[in-house]
Amino acid sequence: MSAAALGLGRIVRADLRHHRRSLAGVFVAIFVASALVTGLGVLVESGIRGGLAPERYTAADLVVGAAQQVDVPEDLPVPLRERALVPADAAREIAALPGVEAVVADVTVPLAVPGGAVPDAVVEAHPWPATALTGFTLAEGREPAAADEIAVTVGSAHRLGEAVTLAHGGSPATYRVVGVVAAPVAPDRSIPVFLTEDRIADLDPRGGIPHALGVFVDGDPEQAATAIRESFPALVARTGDARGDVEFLDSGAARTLLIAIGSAFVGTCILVALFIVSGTLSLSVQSRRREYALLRAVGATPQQVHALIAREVLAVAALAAVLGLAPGYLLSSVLQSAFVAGGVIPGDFALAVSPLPAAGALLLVLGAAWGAARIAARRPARLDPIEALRESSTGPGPIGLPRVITGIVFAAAGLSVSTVPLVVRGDAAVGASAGAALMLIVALALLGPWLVSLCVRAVGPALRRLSAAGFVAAANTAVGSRRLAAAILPIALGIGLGLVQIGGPAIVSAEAANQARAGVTAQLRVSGPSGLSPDVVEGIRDVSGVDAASGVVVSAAVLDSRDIEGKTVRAEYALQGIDPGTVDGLLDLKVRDGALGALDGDATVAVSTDAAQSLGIRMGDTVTGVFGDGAALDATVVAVYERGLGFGALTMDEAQVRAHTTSGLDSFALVSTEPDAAATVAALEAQGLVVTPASGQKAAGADAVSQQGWVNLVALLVILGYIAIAVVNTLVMATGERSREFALLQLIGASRGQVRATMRTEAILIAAISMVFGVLVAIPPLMGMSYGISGQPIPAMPVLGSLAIIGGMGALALIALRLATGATLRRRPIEEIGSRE
Amino acid sequence: MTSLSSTPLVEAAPAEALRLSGLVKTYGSGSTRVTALRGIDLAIARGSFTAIMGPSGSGKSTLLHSAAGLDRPTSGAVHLGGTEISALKPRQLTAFRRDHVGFVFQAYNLLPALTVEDNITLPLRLGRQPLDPRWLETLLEAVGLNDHRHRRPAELSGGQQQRVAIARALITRPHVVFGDEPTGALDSRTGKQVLDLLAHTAKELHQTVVVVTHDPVVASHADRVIFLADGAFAGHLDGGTPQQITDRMSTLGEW
Repeated sequence: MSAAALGLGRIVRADLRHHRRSLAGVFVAIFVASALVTGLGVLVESGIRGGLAPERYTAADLVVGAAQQVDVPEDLPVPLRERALVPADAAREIAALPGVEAVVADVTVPLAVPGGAVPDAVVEAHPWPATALTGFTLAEGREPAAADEIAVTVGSAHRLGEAVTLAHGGSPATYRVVGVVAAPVAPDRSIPVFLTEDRIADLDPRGGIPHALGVFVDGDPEQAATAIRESFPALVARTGDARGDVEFLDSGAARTLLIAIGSAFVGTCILVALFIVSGTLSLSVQSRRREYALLRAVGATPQQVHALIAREVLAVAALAAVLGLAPGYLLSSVLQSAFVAGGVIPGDFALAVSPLPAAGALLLVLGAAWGAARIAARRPARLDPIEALRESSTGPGPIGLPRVITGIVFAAAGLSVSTVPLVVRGDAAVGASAGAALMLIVALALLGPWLVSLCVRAVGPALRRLSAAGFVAAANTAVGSRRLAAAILPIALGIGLGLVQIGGPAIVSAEAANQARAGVTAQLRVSGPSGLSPDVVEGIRDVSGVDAASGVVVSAAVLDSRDIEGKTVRAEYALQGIDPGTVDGLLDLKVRDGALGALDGDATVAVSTDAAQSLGIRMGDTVTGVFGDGAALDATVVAVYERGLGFGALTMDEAQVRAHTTSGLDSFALVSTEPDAAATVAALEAQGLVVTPASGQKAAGADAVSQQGWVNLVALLVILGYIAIAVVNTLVMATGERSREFALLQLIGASRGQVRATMRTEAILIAAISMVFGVLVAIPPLMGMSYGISGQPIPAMPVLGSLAIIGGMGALALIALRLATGATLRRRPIEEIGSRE
Repeated sequence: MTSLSSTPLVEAAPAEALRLSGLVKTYGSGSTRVTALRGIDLAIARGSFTAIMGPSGSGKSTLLHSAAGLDRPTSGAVHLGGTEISALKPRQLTAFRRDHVGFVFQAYNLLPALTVEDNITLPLRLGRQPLDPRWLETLLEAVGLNDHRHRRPAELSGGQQQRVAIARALITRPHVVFGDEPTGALDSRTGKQVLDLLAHTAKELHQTVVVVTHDPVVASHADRVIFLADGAFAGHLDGGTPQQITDRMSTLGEW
């Protein structure tokens, strides 16, 4: 043995070996955090680098399209939902660039097969020159030359020379198959057919302006792409796999969503990990308080206590974090499936996998572990040795006055913020509810032990009279209210958070559905597989039995507004197009100011009360932004209506809105009929149209809401899962500490069954108190939001979901204590009582 | 209030190991104020074995804690080995305690995760001081735990654990070793062994030992017994028998 200076390493290693069990909770929490952050990191990276591989643009060297997003200063860009068009002269100018051999314009016109074997089959018609983009070559026949000639792909059911009827927007036309084309790799996502350029220009409501340009170059495609980007900063040029970004509209939106959601989740995960690790660590540290008191007495400085705890935690965390990386990559596929199921991203979106997420996860998770160690070490490091020794025998005293006051302040704040939705509408209301819930949760965390001891004192007398087990349980809980609170608070938190998370969106969508139902006064809703053209809507009016018919377009717009600090905020709003002349009696938006009749052209707009408040505008003000395809929008408010949740935030003249959608067609038509409508329905269906009762209308923007709901659900499951870990760990550790107590009870004469009964009583008490607290925390924000949004004080909660959350979290306590008690009772009492711990 | 400041115990010249001047300790404030120590003056010579006795509530543990630098007095000064520890900042006090004070509690003296050897060398480890292996051997021999150096506290008896605690208290060759009822949790035979050890180190190693106790047998091992009652001195007794000590205690009031 040398005379060299001794270090703390020996103590750290000895502690790790000796206190394995108490650090198990930290291990599990870090392991799960590491897996989650890695999986989410893969999603974020996929948002940046992944996407859909091109299918139809595989033969072109590079593809040029218009920008499909709106930039927002200091924030993620907002994707455009409708296809933005490439300026007409861009093709000519690009063809003039050096190195460019050819430029081919692509237009997509959706056609549907009316009736027939597959009633909803939609094909995409392109101009004949677009065959070059995929490498289609003629296998049989020739290229179409007349307006009624069509070329199909090899896999089609139609043969050369056959007549095919395809409807555009509901109006059918017949074509003759004059050619069959084949490509090296056939597209999967769509069925292409080819018509003459002139026919396409006729059919396309937007006049055949290119959706994208395929460019063929000699030399390096990437160089050419850079040159094009420099010459045309408003256009987007993509090579390689990124060509899929231009081909598929939903790819860009999916990427933005993945980045936004992924990053937000990572933040939440790290915070929750910090919370849970510092919680379980505090328990572990608390159970070793005598040791820390001794260390301080012998002469350890606060820094040395911090260092000891930090090194122990980091040793455990490093191992757990590394082990969690591989499962994290597996988890990313699970998360991907969840998002695909929720309609957030397309099913064939390819993930980008690299070591980056693993590196990022290690950094973040270990950072969180270190942070948690600092928090947990504050207490043992700061106490005076005598205080520490005194405290270690009797346990920490009652919570101090500053904490109680802070808790009451938070509770009051939470209650008052809960009433914000009564005066503010829209997104701010939802945000306020979430904020109120958070404040109440913090109040609960601060006042928890005090509230728990109140409950226990209230319930105690009844418990005492119940049975011997109840008597012991009552005594235990009276003394150990802090220990009880440590278990109750996470469960109550999970319940409160869970109820608010599922309640908020439920309230909004319930009200939206109500509004949609109340506002549609038409009887029928008529649509086609890919939309209705205005001619078809005219034709519907001529069908016998139809009183009135009006076309409706559902799209979106991105509007500018200013936030509190004066920064420009851009957000997407649902935009509805109606025909003010024919919509009376079919749609009731509950107009409060102005009149829908004033909607005319693209410079007038009607807004909902929610949107008016979000944007900070009134009658006569101007809204600025862009339509769904990026074209400038500048309109004056001529009416304000109330049913914004059901029908969308903005309403304009439908001809204007239609001009800025991908297909240029109406989404559906609302039709009112005579009382007995059976014959009318049959007549409409004979035309190849789809007829449904109008009352089944989905609220505008319902898709976006359900996407958000899915995301929230996944986030909620993550958080609840974490809380479950914390709760189980807390209860197992706390029960393990009481092993001598159990031993004593058994030696005195209690049977194992009675000891179990005691613990069961405590478990039921914990579960009951947590459920009550959790529900109480959720009620004010939910009620406020419900009253503000729908005027009903009782929130429309999903019954099954709420019961699942409340019951599931409550059951956690019962299960955890059952397991922990069973484990603790395994040692023989006589051995246990003599143990020196 | 009897003052002993002018009565050195052993031969003249060696500095006092411990001096308390006007030590006062109060808890709480206002109507709930409790005065634990009412102004103690005390000098303890180097190499002596002193016992502080008194009924419960007399303030003896408080006296020990203040003297050892574990607690701050409300007023007055504590000089330990020449340094006025009552004037030190908390960090300096911690370092001083680590390097120059040994302490043996009644129970829970050892870290359960560490071996006997590691428990003994803990103060050196915390102070990043080098270890003299021969000194460690000497101590292990002195406490008779040479064969147990790699055992953990869970594998030792109560008496063995206290002996480890004593060895740890001595490893830094402190100015004073303080003991708070060091034999309180042991049976009489084991307790006597521990006490003999303490007295032996005081003589052999010229170590100053101060113990607090309510047991007259323990006190009889000391060179001098100092009595405390209601936070103030109540006399002293040099080299008394347990019976004498018991009689003296009964005159102090409640046992």
